[in-house]
Amino acid sequence: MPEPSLEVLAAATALAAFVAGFLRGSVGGGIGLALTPVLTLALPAQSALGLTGFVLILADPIILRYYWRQWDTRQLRLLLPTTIVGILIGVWLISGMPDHRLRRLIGCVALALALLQLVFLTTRIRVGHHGSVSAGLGVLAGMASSIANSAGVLLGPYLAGLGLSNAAVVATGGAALVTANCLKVLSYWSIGFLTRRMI
Amino acid sequence: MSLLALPLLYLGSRLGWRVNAYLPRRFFALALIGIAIAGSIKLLLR
Repeated sequence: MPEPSLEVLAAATALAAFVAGFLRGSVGGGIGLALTPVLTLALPAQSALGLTGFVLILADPIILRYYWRQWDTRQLRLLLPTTIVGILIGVWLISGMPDHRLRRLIGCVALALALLQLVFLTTRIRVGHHGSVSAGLGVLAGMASSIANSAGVLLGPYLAGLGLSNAAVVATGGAALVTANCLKVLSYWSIGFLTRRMI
Repeated sequence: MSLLALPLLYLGSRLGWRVNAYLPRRFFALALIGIAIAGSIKLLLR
């Protein structure tokens, strides 16, 4: 993989840091959607992924400080262990199943859940939320994180659909994904997507 | 390099945190659903 020039890397890192911080702080997600494609215009795709992953791990303590104790404790208790289980399942699946099939599976689930939340929001239908739904969603979010860096597309609308405040959605999603981001960065380092110069 | 960009990360996070406090609840929920729909379509098309 060719290393980008220092000027390009500096500009890309500055952009990644500001945009990732803003998106994590305001809506809690959308980084993989908005930032990674822009960075790939200047950096190799692997470098863009590695850089985004590392910037996110740096953003975690800042975001947790701003939203400290504003999370929903019940949801966090369910999501934190189940996202780790999901990451392990995701890593195991990647090794034995075609990547594109997994991405499509997660895309289908995320699209169905988002449309469902849109129906709930626009029609004001209220449904009961059982703990097992959150646990199942935690597993799916962990899988989505390890396979496609897309945990936010599952967690964000779900937490907002529970009626949590804006701050609680960002705080709960952010706290639940801290471990996922650490595991992700370690794996990027081990496969060479993240280099000492990027850090 | 990323460590040198920490002030920008901090600035972006602070700005995002302020915006989060001002966003109307309904707009916030719709923004999350919009991000989820766009993200899932991107996953389906790749």
